[in-house]
Amino acid sequence: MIEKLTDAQIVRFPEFVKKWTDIGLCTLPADRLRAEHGIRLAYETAKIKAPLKIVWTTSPLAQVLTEDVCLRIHKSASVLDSVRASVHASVHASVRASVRDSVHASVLDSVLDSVRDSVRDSVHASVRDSVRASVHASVLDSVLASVHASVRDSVLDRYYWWFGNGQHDAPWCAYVNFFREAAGLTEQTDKAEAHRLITESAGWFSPYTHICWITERHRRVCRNGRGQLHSHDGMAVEYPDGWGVWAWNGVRVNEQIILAPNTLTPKQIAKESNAQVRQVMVERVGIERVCQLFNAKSVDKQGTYELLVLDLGDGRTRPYLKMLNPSIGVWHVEGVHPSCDTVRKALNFRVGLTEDQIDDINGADWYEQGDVILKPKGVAKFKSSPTILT
Amino acid sequence: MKKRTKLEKAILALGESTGHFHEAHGDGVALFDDGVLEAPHGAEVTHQEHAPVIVPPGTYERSIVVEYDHFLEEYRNVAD
Repeated sequence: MIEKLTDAQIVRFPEFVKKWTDIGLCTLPADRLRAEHGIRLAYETAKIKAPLKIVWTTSPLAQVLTEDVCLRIHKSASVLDSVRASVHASVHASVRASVRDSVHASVLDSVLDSVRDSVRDSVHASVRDSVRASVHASVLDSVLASVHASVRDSVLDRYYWWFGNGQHDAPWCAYVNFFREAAGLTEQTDKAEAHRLITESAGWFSPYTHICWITERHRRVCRNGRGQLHSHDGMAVEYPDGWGVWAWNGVRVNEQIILAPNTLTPKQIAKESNAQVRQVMVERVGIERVCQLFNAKSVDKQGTYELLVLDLGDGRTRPYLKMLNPSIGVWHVEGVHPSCDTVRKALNFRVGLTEDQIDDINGADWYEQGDVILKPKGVAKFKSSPTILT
Repeated sequence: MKKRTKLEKAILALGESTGHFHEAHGDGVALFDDGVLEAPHGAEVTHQEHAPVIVPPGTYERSIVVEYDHFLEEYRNVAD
């Protein structure tokens, strides 16, 4: 029973962080032989007959599309649940038998939770924070989420979440692999070995009864200093077939915003419904040029806030609030109600307050983080500004 | 009256373009499908880019900042 990690084990955290972060972000061609060995081992572990074919695709999008076409012709059942269940349940049970139980308030997902529940708070927290979370932040938060979202956007309702994430499963593998190699839980983690082989060798995979699709690794991953997907001269994530993700400081955008921001028209900027994407547009074009494009006139100022009236190019002028994002230091512009003629009215409009609800002496404190507002329930009067704004 | 449902995670908002999210943490913290956040012992709200916000014990109504779309002539929650 593992009660506590030794100093010798703890000192190995950075080794596992680096190893699995490198795997998660690897841009080398897939190690196909090794990955295919992992797939066959995964089926064997799940006690399922090996697939008749293993089909390599060039990107997650290509995988989704070819899979969709093939499945319309030949019915085949996904065995991912079986593959996952056999690995995760077994590993969970084995690890649980070897380490002390603990109670955890938060559940990130069923797989990690299964392993986490088997270790003491201190063991769990230190491994999570030092190994898994670091890899998770580098790989899962930036790359996987963006690739998932881009595939979803590309194929809409034809996209099914029936994938193993291959190299993007690095966070989970880092966690299990630490217990295997640094804590000696070899037997308990044997059934996760197929998963490890695939994760170390290739991209996403999608196992079915007779066929298993598997994807090449990405060939390019660009990130900024904060680990966010970011590139000013190409895709931030690119696969061998040219499909990928355009991103600016972690925000998924399109090719025009990255490669030709000067061709963005005022109408494109004003009509962009996603505030983060619009913020990137403003940043790429430059706030001064945006103001020129819209023939902006300043109506009111309050600190870093400025109420502008913009010419929409169709004979109308309308109010927009120019503001500085306090967390990342970039300007953005948001439309406010046509009746707003002061910064204060514009700020009230944004957070759903009316003048008669404001009492700066006896009003309740409230909180704002980005675009989320928390106000005490059942209260009639509020202060005019949030107590904490980040 | 419709019975409200406690959500699995207290994720207050999810970013479409970034995958980032605002999440409340703390003992007894619960978010319901009507947007009410219960934080009997206070809560810490985290986000990948914003500094954390500590809120004192209480019951809160979660809302999202709105903006006005002058082309559609309607207001909507800010989407990111």
